Amino acid sequence: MARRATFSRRVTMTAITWVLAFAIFFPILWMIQTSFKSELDAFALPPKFFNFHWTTENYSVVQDRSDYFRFALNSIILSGGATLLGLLVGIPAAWSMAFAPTKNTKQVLLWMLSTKMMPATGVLIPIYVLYQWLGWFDTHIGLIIILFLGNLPIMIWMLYTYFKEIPGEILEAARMDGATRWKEIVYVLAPMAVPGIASTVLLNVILSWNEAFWTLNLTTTTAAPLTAFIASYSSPEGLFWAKLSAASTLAVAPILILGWFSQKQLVRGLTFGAVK
Amino acid sequence: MSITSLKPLNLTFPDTWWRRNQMWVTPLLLLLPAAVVFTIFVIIPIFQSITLSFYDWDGINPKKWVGFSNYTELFGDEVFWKAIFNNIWWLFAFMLGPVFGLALALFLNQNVRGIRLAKSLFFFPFVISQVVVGLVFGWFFNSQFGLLNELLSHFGVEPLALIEGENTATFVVILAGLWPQVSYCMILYLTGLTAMNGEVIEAARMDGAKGWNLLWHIILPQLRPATFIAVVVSVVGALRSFDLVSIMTLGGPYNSSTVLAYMMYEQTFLNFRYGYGAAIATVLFIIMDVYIAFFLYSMLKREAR
Repeated sequence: MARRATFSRRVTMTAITWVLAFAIFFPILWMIQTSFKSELDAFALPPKFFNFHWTTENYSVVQDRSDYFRFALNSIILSGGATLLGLLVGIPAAWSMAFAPTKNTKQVLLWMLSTKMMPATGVLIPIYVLYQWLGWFDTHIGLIIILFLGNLPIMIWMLYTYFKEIPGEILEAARMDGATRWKEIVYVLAPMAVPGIASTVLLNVILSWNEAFWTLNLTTTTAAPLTAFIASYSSPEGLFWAKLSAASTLAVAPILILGWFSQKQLVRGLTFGAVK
Repeated sequence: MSITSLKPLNLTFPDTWWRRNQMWVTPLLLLLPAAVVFTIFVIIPIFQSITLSFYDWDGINPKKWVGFSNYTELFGDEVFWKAIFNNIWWLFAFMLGPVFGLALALFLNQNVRGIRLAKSLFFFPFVISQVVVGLVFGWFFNSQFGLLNELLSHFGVEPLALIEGENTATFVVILAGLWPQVSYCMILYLTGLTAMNGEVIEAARMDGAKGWNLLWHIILPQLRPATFIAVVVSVVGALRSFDLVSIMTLGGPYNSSTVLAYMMYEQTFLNFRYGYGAAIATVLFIIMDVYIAFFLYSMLKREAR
């Protein structure tokens, strides 16, 4: 770290770093550039790398054939709804664990996090039956609830680690000044908790956006988000690589852009606030 | 009940009770919504699933009690053992995520030109959907049109049918899963490394700690929170195997790349055997419970130290 590196060593390190980064990123890059190829170029052997005729035709075909914007809107509704609901339930829960802990709080938290390790498959059948009975199959509300539940443990855990960083003395001071619990939350805690909440929101939007198990199993058309949109391209028309790439690029584009601009908060979110 | 007898209660009791007890009642009230939804959508379905595994049901006609026969059939089912075997492979292979992630992070934790952009490139695989990961990798390994065979042909290697091969399909799918997992773990460790106390490392260096010793005794202990999260997310990731299997291979060829989650899906929704599917889910649960119990136990023990 503090050791001085020789010039040649630095050059080698830089080169290796960039080769590694390129290798890791290559699949995404390949997908994006293929989406601008004609179907013929997509199949060309040896593969063409940037030296092909660029076209945006795939994108218009994909939109015409399967209405990308409807799926994208569903993705926004589902991930937004699930995250909002998660905040509504998660903030109070995390708050009470962070500021009114009992000696079992840590156990409860770990247990909650461990339920995230449970395979979702285990509850698929009862949920499926329940949803048919409630008429929630392929509806926004049904999907929002299940996505929200899937991420709730992670949300509470994250919010908890953020809330714990808020110094207790501030609460004491507020209490001395006669603040009730409610006022404490609204005027003292909330402003300090905003950055943590923002990171939690970002991570949860991304997790819900990418969730495939529930969205593939519990939707058909009305509430189907982008994951279902790509999956529908993979099966019957599996050999149209350029169009498939265009569809995939469209599906990941919002998240890639969001991820690019919010990397810092996201990294904090991805590490569950546990790694500082 | 007369009004006069209630009146003093109404005026004073609820008020003071609330005042006296709000410090512990408020947290309970705040935890309540989480507990309620959790019970309805997680705890109850788990028990329903277990109950259902003792029935024969096609989803439409009345359920028929069959006792343990779903289980006896399951334990005699070759596909089931294949699936369990593959699940174990997934779990083991995913433990490579933290290892590779740490290696990459140690390497990237330096100041080279454009390191920030390089880090961003490492970061992207994690944020994209598993469905897309599955598609891209499936295409890369496709024996007819895949890039892999094209690359190999330049070195004079015969085309390989890895994703279509009975012995190799699972590993191709696992590789696809590891791609975002490694980058995730790398981010975790990188964040941990950046925040690490440099003085301790310098001090250890002065005392002559180098290489493996430095890593094992000085750096790794400080990265313990990162390791904890990395292992947790890797296990979670290994269990998401369903997404990739259903996108890349549909459990094939000949069920060789199936996992318990996918087998359950197949039996339940394609063969309409809800009870049999529930039995598979229950087995998956029991396996995970053992794992989780072990995990919780070791975490709490560590915490107590």
